[in-house]
Amino acid sequence: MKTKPANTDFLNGVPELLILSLLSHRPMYGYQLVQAIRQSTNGTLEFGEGCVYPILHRLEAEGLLGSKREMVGGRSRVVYRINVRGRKQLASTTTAWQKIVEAVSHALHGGERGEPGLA
Amino acid sequence: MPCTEANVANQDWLEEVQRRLAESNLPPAYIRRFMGELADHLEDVDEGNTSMEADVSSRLGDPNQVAEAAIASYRRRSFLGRHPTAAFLAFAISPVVPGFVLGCIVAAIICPAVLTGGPVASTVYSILCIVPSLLACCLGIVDVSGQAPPGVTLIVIGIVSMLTGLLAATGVLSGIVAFLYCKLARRVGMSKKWMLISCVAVAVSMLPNHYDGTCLSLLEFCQIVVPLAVGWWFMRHGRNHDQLQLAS
Repeated sequence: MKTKPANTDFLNGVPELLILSLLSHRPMYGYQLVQAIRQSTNGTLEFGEGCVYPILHRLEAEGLLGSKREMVGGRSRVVYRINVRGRKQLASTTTAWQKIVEAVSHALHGGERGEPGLA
Repeated sequence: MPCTEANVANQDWLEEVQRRLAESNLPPAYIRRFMGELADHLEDVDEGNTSMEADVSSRLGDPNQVAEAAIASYRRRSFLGRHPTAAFLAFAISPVVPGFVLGCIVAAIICPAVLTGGPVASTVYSILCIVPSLLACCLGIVDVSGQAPPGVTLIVIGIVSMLTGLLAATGVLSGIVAFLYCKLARRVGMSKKWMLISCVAVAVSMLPNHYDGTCLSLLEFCQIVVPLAVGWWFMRHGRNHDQLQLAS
């Protein structure tokens, strides 16, 4: 049986960042969120879809998200919404992420020593 | 994959996740919510399936890994779950303190000789004796005008006093302490071994100070067995509860 990697730490902190970012656009339930992650990353990030719920629950417990069971398309679904604390967290995490990307990119392209980069 | 076959596969997958969660001692309410969302997700997958992947494990992940992710995520929420040392202090060391205090109180009740040991034991004993009398006054059983209470009232007070002493002496209080630790362990999603460790710690702390390895009296035996019974009940109850959930 072929399975996708289901490790929630497939990229440390990235799922949380993506989830907060996507929920900042509109409230979504789990399945919608998984589809949105797939579309927004062009399917680059592969993970077990069931692992999105533990992350959502943890973010909710940390007070970054709110959830409510609502009727969506005639079905009852748990819909998640980002709150003010979540938006602040998203802003600070995004800034930190951009710094990391710049730093790693800088290092991969030779850095200050002027050594040849990977590309 | 035919619809019925897919449903059976989905159900098997859900049951596998739930079985693993049931072993983990997470709160039943959390398990219900998590399983509900996974079931909703599978419904959506079935409905929106454009033959990308027919196998439920291929999409949602290996059931054991999904369950492990949920367990790890839940435990990371609490301080005790994040810090093993804090968990050890909370579940293995701290139960000794209330257990020891209860042991002293019970010893003061069943061994009047302890009363000669100091003012603390005397005070505790006096308070425990006064409580039923105050209760009787509040309920109007005792005439507070100064007249001697009738014989029936004396019998009632005697019975209440005896029951209070028996409850304490037979380990109800130690059972309550063990119960509270088990509830705490379940609330923060600690594994079942921590519940058992807490109950053993309470039971050991209830051993009489003078215990020299010889036979225990019936009351002392109850004080030790009740916390262990509470721990056993919690472990059994969790399993039965989850079996019921699966059956439904």
